[in-house]
Amino acid sequence: MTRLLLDSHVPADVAGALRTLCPEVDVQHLSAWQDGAYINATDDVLLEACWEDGRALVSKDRATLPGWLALRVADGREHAGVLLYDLERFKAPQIGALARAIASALEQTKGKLANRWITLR
Amino acid sequence: MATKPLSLRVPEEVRLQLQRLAQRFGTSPATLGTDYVTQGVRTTLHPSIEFRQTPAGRMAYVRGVRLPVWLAVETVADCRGDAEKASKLLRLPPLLLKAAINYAQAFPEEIAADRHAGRQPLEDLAGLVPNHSFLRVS
Repeated sequence: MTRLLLDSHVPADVAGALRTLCPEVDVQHLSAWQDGAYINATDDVLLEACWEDGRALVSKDRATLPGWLALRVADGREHAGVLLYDLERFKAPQIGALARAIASALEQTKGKLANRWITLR
Repeated sequence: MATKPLSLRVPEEVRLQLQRLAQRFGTSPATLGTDYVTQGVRTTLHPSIEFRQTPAGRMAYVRGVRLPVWLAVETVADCRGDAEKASKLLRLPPLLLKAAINYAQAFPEEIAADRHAGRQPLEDLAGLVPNHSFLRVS
């Protein structure tokens, strides 16, 4: 089963919209995942938690995430995958459009996201 | 920004730790010390903000959540300035979001720089992260 984690800045309602579009996908929002244990986690800690849970991260943060991921790879560690969306294309209130884009990405990749960084455009 | 000298006395152990940290970060103890004092002053004046060391440099975050101030500001802009709407989307207490906005207004250049880092060209990602690909979605 494909597993996704929506980062803190991704509107939580996207999780509900995605569950409707892709009922077979396990979608969690960071605010609720593991009882909110990672609500304040740094990127490196979150990437490790995602890897342990086999859960790809959905984010639009391209300021810090690329650097943390590159450091992780440099350390010889794998990751569960990142789906990055363009903040200029998907504005925060566009819940449905973002959910459809993520669903389309899952369909095109067949949910195989491990060790991949996929930028939606 | 104009700077003025400030003389401080710290325990020897702290001086040595500062020296080691500065060496690790490739900077001088004076520069790092200035940065720490600045952070201390700012977090006292803006207690809803915390600073994190990231691969993109030091960045201001909303305290207690993994939300950089620049992304909080971005969300409010996405909502055309409607902070209430943005706080609902982010599931963030409205007062915490407003505190982040206050910080952004107090330090516009810092947040503009973070925002700039967050808007680096998508094409540059291919050179930063291994196994990168673009996917066209409808």
